[in-house]
Amino acid sequence: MNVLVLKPSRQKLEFSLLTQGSERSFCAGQVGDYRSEEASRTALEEVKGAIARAASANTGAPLPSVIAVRGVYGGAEFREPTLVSPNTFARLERLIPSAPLHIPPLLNLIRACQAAWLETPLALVFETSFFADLPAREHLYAIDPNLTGRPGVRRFGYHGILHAAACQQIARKRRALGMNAPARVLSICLEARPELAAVLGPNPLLVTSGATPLEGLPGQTACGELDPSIVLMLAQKKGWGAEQINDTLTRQSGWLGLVGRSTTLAEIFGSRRRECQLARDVLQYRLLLACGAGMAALGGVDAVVFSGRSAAVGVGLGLWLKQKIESAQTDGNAPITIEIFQESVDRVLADTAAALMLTPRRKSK
Amino acid sequence: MYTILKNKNAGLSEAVLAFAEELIGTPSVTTQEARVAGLVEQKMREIGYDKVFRDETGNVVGAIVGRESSPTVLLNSHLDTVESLEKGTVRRESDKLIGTGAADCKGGLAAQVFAGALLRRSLLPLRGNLVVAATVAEENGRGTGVRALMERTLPALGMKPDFVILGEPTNLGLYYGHDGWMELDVTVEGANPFHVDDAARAIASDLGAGENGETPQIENVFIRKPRFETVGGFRRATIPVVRRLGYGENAGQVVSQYKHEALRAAETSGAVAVDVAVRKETRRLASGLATTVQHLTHAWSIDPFHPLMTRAREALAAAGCEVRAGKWELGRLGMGTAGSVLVKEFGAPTIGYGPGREEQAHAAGEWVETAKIVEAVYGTAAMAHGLIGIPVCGWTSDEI
Repeated sequence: MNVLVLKPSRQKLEFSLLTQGSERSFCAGQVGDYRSEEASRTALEEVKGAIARAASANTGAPLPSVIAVRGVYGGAEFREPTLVSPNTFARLERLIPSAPLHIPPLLNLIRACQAAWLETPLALVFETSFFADLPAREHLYAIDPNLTGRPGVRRFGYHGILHAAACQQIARKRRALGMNAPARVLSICLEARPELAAVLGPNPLLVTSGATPLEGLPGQTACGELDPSIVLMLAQKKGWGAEQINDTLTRQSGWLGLVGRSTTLAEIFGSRRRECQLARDVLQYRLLLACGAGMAALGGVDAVVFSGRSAAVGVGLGLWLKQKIESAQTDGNAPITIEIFQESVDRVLADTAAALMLTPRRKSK
Repeated sequence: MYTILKNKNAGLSEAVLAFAEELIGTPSVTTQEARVAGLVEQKMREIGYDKVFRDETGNVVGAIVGRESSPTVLLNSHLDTVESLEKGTVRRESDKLIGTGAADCKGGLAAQVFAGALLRRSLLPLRGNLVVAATVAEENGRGTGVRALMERTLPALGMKPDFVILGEPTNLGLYYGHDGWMELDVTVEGANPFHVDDAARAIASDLGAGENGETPQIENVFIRKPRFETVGGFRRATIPVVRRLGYGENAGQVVSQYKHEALRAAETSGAVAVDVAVRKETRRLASGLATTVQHLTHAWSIDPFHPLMTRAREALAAAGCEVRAGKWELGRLGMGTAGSVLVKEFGAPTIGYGPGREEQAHAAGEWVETAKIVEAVYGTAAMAHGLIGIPVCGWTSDEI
């Protein structure tokens, strides 16, 4: 089966045609702006042209049997990959308030695909589908849903396609070794917005991202987890509106904020510069905490898997994490005691003050 | 989001300047706006506004309908210009478009029409509605077009503007009000022409005719010399007065004050009748409709911390635009904006944000900077999105 893969991202459309029986793509590349309907049509003409040019050097232009389109956000509406049908458009329209920058151009791209390849089925694969069935305890926020003004505000992950595939690979390897129990996997996707998912067998139990990709680990330009009072402080002290706060937290923070300039994961983990080291310490520490949370949710861990465009960073990072995790596990040989501390704060304060009075005072200089 | 807006705006810059040039090059003196209205209507259709039409008054209305019935933002600029010797000549000189109406306010009109185009092309979904209205008959100071828009046209669409942004010249400042002005006729009538003439001269002298109480930049009152005529066997003198109205001043009280002074000045001139009234006029519009209007523009202002100002400031700051709040000075009497009608008669919160400079309005060799028109498209779209767009909090267009 020939599959044309389309990955719409920021201002470009990446494509790759994978043909039956071949490990490598027949043709791959990227074209520019695709966001408007007209731009989508032009972009797909360029894709067709690229396939035709690749064919002239091979045996003939293969027609795609199916087109796979990556969608960033499918919400609770798209819980699994879906073939586009007439009602798909209305379902996507409903998601616009939740992902206003991504759904409208996706709709245009789908329409343009249908016009460019009339009879070819179109499969939508969403990054969020893997997380549609997160346990309620994980996906709910402790706020009154009636106060948010947007029903259905909940946690998702935004790298579900790679998390799912990486975990499947681990399951296959374990089965080959005769290990049939569901694996407890910490899946770490190293992209511009890194994400950790704790996955038991095929089911994610925890993910670092939130209602939007802003929550979680610090990213290339996104702050990640943040005390909400900082947002309020920006509003009050700086007098900033929602747009400016959003721009600061999503485009001027994260590694950019820590390093002071634009950088990559590869540089952060490969450079000896002081500012990179600081960013590395912050990111490693946050990742370690996320691993701890993931292990708590899973009841342990059997494997850690890295994926994403910076997956190679996982070679060194993985060793560091493995050492930390194993060290924490082996240090736990002594039995853990459970204690209840019942003294009041008053008692503690009184004891502290009394101790202070009894301590010989140093002469002030 | 702002990266998308900026990139798309760069792609639209030549088109908006060409449109502005076409508008300036098309004469549209008050009541003769039909040709320029046709250009606006056609451009709105090309851009893909959801609804485009011309109302019975001749206003052109384009709407981009949001996902919800409210809120609604109205972008309003006027189609007409004052009389000028340059009639429809336009030229582009390096960084300026020069011609009648360039600053007041065809540059602003072009920017507002293209703000809709920018929001459309950027695919930023709207929660509420965007209405762009190019209205007739503003330059005669009576707000005929905008009044018809608010009274009949928008209600027929089922839309009531929650916020209004005028494209009048502000040099891209955020303006939230201006003084008003009124034209009064002080009339003296009587059977004895000598009595009338004496009374008129006494009143004119008392009020200061021939002097015009003006400061170097700002006119406050202008009193013309009396005009005499005979009507039905009676002698009549008319003394035209144009006067600035400050915020909080009441037009009725000003009329009473002038009447009191005129009566006092005419006391010793014999048997004459003295009256003072706001001038009224009947005009036929480009659409053929006849309308009677008063020569009265109310001073208006909104709170500088009104949610409209606050959101506009926040959106402009986030978009990386300069934020400068202020008010129109209206250095010459007789000038004004539709804000008087919108705020005072319809209670619609209104601000101004346009590319022209105020001092260029009605000036010979009027010009507007081309870069300001392009920036006005971006700034207006950013503000409109801040007011009626679906928020994009937490998301960027960056790769995830």
